[in-house]
Amino acid sequence: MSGFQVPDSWQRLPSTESGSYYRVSGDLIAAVPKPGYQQSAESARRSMDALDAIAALHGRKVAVIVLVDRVVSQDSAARRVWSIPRPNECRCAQALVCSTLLARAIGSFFLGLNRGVVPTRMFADVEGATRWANEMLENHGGTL
Amino acid sequence: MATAKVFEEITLALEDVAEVLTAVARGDFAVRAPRSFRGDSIDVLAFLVNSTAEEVSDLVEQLENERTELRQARDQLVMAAKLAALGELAAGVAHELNQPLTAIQMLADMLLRRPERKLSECEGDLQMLSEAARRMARIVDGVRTFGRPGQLRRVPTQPAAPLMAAIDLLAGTLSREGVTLEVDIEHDTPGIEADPDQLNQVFVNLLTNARDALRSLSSGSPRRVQVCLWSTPSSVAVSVEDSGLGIDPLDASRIFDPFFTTKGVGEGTGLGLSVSHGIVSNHGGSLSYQPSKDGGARFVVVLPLRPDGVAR
Repeated sequence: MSGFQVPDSWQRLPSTESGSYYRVSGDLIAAVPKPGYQQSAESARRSMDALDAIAALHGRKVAVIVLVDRVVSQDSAARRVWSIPRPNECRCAQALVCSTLLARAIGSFFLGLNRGVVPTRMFADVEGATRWANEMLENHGGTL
Repeated sequence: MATAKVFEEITLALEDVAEVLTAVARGDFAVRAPRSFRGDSIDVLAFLVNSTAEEVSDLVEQLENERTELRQARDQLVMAAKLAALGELAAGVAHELNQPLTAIQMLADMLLRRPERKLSECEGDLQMLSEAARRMARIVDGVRTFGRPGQLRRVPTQPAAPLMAAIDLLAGTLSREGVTLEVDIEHDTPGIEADPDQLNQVFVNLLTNARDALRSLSSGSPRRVQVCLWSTPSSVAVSVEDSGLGIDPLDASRIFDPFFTTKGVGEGTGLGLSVSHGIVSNHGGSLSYQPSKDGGARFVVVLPLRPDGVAR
């Protein structure tokens, strides 16, 4: 999974210094961090702002697939950022793709110690993440 | 050769983990295991132990903040209860002050009417004047002590002192309401480590409750409040017992809950017993209720002795 290649079918969206965003299909967005990405509170906030901007441009709630396999570290302050409720939340679901031992450790801390404000699950592959995220979009997606 | 290198790497990693966890154990949350960011088992172990240290640090900080907030809320509750009780005491205090004030006025008028008297002839009157003024000072001091805001400040204390101060404050009121006050105090008990102001508040609350309980009795019923202080090898105990109607068994389990009151609207805040319970608990003691033998209410405060038993 660490050698993950972005499928051609994914449409590239504006990027940040931490990584790139893609539209997988419809309202399903993928966040693909740069390899070796270490998330701090500041970079977590920038990622969240980027997602807000994408959803606002689109005018719809999004489900997000996050390639955690490319992340090598996330500190507690970054985890807190994702657990703070935001007004006009644009995310209806987050699917964390964690196929490596380190990604699973990062995902476990993220899920276990911070009750996320949106439904979040960990998956071993992109396919499983995509299926669940689409189901969540069907049930909880829609206009912002 | 390769096996020896792996063994050395694992040993070093375990030493790093042990160092982080030892630091956490002694309250130092800043130590981290070095990361290679390779994502191998040793790197994952370092991430896990570092994240654990971070989370424990955050949780400890959060706990400290919540404790501080809780302490502040409790202090505010204590102060609110004090102010409410002071309001209830105000009328009685005014009356208490009025008696010596009247005596001072009368004695001063008498002295003014006979300016020819020598000072030596007025000695008796002046002594009475002085005593009346001292009595007023004691009452004012009692009110000031009771109303003093404060955090728990434990000092070596003779338990009889705050109890007697509370009795002094309420004895007059009880007497005017036809209540017989029976006091049985062991004055030379061993010392306790306590905040005398806060204990005074507890005893004033208990005596005020006893007074209020007797108000609901029909005229002609005996009105009695009994206060006892005694010691055991490990503690001192104070009981305040009244000859009122007691507490309904259904209410008994709730009387120490904040804002629970059986008094009428505007007559009680429901904070007195709750705050008293908190104060006594903070002293490592207990405050309990039990029906008295004749059906009234009996509250018992038990406070641990100082290890050396001496109040200096």
